[in-house]
Amino acid sequence: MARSVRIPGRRTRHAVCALGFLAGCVGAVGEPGWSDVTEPPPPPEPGVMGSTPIHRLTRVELANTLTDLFGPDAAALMPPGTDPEVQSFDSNSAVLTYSETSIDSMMRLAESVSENVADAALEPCAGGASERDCASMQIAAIGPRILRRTLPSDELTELMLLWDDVQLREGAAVATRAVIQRLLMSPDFQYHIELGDASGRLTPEELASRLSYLVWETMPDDALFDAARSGRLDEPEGVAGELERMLADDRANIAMLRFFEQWVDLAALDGIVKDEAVYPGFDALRGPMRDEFRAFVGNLVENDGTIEDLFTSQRTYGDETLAMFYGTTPTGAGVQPIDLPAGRAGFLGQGAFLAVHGKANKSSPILRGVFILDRVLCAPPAPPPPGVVAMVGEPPVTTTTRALIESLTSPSQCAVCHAEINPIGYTFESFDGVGRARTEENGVAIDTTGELTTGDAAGAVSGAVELAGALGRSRDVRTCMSTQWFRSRFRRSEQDGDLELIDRVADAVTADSDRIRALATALAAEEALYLVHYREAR
Amino acid sequence: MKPITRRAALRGFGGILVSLPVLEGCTSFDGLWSGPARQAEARQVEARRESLVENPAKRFIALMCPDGMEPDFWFPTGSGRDFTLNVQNAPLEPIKQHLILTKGIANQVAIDQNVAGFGNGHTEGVQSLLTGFQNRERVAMSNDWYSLGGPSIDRTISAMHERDGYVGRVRGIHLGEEGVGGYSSISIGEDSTRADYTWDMSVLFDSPGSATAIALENARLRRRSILDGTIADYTRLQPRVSGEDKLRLDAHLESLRSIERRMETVVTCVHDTFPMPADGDERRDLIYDIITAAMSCDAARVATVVFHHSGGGGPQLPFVGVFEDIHELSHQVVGEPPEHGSHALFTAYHQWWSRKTLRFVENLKSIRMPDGTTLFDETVIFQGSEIAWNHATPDMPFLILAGDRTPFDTGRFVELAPQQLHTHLLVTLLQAFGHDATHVGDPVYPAGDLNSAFFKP
Repeated sequence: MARSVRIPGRRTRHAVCALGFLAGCVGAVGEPGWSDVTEPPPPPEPGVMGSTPIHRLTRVELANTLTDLFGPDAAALMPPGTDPEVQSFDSNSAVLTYSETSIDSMMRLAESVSENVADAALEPCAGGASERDCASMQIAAIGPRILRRTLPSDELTELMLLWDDVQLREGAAVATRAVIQRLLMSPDFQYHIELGDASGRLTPEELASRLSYLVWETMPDDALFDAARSGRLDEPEGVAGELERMLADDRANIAMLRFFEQWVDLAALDGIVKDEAVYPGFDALRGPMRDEFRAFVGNLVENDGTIEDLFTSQRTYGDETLAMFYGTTPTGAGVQPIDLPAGRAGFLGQGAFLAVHGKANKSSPILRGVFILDRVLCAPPAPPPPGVVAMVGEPPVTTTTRALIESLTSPSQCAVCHAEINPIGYTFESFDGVGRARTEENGVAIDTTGELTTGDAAGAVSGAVELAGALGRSRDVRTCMSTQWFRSRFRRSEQDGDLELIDRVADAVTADSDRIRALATALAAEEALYLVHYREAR
Repeated sequence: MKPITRRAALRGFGGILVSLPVLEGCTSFDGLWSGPARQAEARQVEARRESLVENPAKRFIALMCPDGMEPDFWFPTGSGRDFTLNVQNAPLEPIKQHLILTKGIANQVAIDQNVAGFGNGHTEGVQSLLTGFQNRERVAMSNDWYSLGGPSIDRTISAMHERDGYVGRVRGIHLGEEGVGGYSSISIGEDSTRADYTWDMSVLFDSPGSATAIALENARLRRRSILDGTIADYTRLQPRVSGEDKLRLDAHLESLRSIERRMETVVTCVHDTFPMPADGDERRDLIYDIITAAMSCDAARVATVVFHHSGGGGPQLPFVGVFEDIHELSHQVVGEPPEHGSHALFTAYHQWWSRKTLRFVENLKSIRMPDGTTLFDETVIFQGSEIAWNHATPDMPFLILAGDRTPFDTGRFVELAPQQLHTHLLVTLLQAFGHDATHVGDPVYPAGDLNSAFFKP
């Protein structure tokens, strides 16, 4: 069972906030994102590391793996669906389980893949080979790739018994597909199985899979399998060499980009609804905003960008629509570099973040403030208590959103937490609910003065650019980034016993010129990367 | 016996050809209800259930309408059979005769969880809705809460059907706009596992085709051989793991065996692919169309629908002019004066919901089964929410829609003395299916039912 965790600074914040929450709090309840922030966890067990039980592949991992095995048409056969997210990531092992329905669904997917696309992935047979010998050769070739481990001869023999059984009734081609289906239903394909050796260390093939899904979100390639089977992964230099090779592959960039997409909740951009009467034409901006975030982060990841760049870079990428949205002059057709106008910096100044963390018809200092506290500083405020009443309605036309929020959250029972949230969120008030720059609201001048209220960079800030600068220099932000990376890649919430590892990864990033990619390389030095993560009663 | 086709289903749905005596192809292949011996067995089961309750219901559908309602606009006026639907439920007027609206039922389980300091205003109501259990354990700092107990009554009904010999294509249909989670999962197993929401229609329906009987039988044998091998794979792995790993593999194995049992009783249900609409309004219709089509060929007798998770980040309904999220509106209507626009928007949400329910019931009523009844006649729809109003759970907005061949005495507003336990209503719902349960949920709550208030005299 998953255990609860402690985030540095979190428990104290909960205790303080809990004291202040009584009925009557206004403003915060119902903001999207609150459901991600639950009650304070029970006390942590000192020194305990989290555990990562056997869990299924995520949908992205499944799609990537099917593509690597059978081509993109295989992934297209997957039924629609989503993975549950924990702490904004879809990889948490605590919830990556199968239900009977999803097992049934996987069985049908396996059948569909084997019937429709598997043939092309099979090795051609030598002329003159019998159908059975040919099938045996094909299965011996593809079996270890599907299972991500060696296929012993006794298992191959058993698979050929299935082939014989089906071949009698339906012929050789169907029989081979049946064996492929059986392989795709194996626990070794459907789950991340890490049994380890007697000392609790991963076997070389298990390590290859862990590295591959960690860096690429897909199965090992032939070179990585070779490294595992030849013993190169037994040595640190071998692992480092493979990691370097993998990080140079575009799949590593895609996987790391997806980490950031989940972190900032980019997928929400597709689903959020904006009031067309207030923000006409927003639908046309979704795509360009999404493309901008991907191009921006992708460029940083690929080109040794730093964590500070994430927050402070003045260079972004967009098409003509986005350039006009920012009030700049397009430099050409298609996605082009754009110099952000004054008042914007890094991803926090981009449309995607601002629109996702804005309301349907107005800005949202609370959503934006909570994002910084929760996702950037790993210091989420406590949720509003049950039973709160009165909410933010439409702001009167004679005032600003800031003034309205200040008024509604001013009662002492609300102010305890909102004193931390609001001053961060106010710095973004120069952007409306879709991220368009503004200098006034309802005829009243915008006030973007605020304060970074917690962490090592705490202090007054005059607006979003200053806030981004402070965050970009903060060590606490690096620690939080390392925490988020840990959650995503170790597939669990951290425990007390994991905090030193998280600190070391943050140190390693700093020592490596603040490069974003150092998040991945730093893990290679961690002993935990080589250990089975679930060892209860083993 | 013909399989159901899309054309036949559409005839059924639309009621265009009302002279059709039955919907074509609602049947099973090599199935439970074919053959004299099985039919005799079925009659015995029916007789046993009839001894517990007259006209036991066959199909159960639970709908979770998240984020509560406004009492002033939801509860009807009048009493008994002489009642007038309030504005939020007004669209249900054409099916008022099938309706029971309730007042006076509290979700005491959720109340107690809140008092104990473990509630957050939503998850405790979601997970106790059909289980009667509090939820405590959880994945740290996520929106994913485990329930302490189950099963939910949809699972109990499904298990009862299986015990009585019915084997559908799935144990239950679970559809919604959300994945599993503490704010959205109402179907919970005895082992606290939660149902997946799946849009994989291949689990429920066969694609139209012209496969011969021999080909179908070969496919069945092939699938069985593959499944046998898969079960062997998991069985071999089991001794090598322990703790949580073992629990997960045990559950996987049990599911594989359940699927294997279903393979032996193949309920055919042929349907074209359902296109997935991009629009949330149409997706809601699709959910109900899928359930209707699947139940019309007896692929399943139980379904749960969670339109959207409760709590923060609620749905927006731009197609009815609601841009604010529903959860936020549900709080606005608590604190804002009556003239505030939030009330109209929250009512628009409920009216939209009610219109969808109306369409669903009318579709169920339009489908004729082989025995001359309609699909709705033996169906019970239970609609609930995780809260009533303002994160509180007294006077829950529970609503039952039931066909004539069920024990429910419909067409009434049932106003009970305050603070009736919702677990007693859960018992009544189980007993409506001929189940002999006298208690549902946490044993700290007393046994009891509300049969006298809800069943036909």
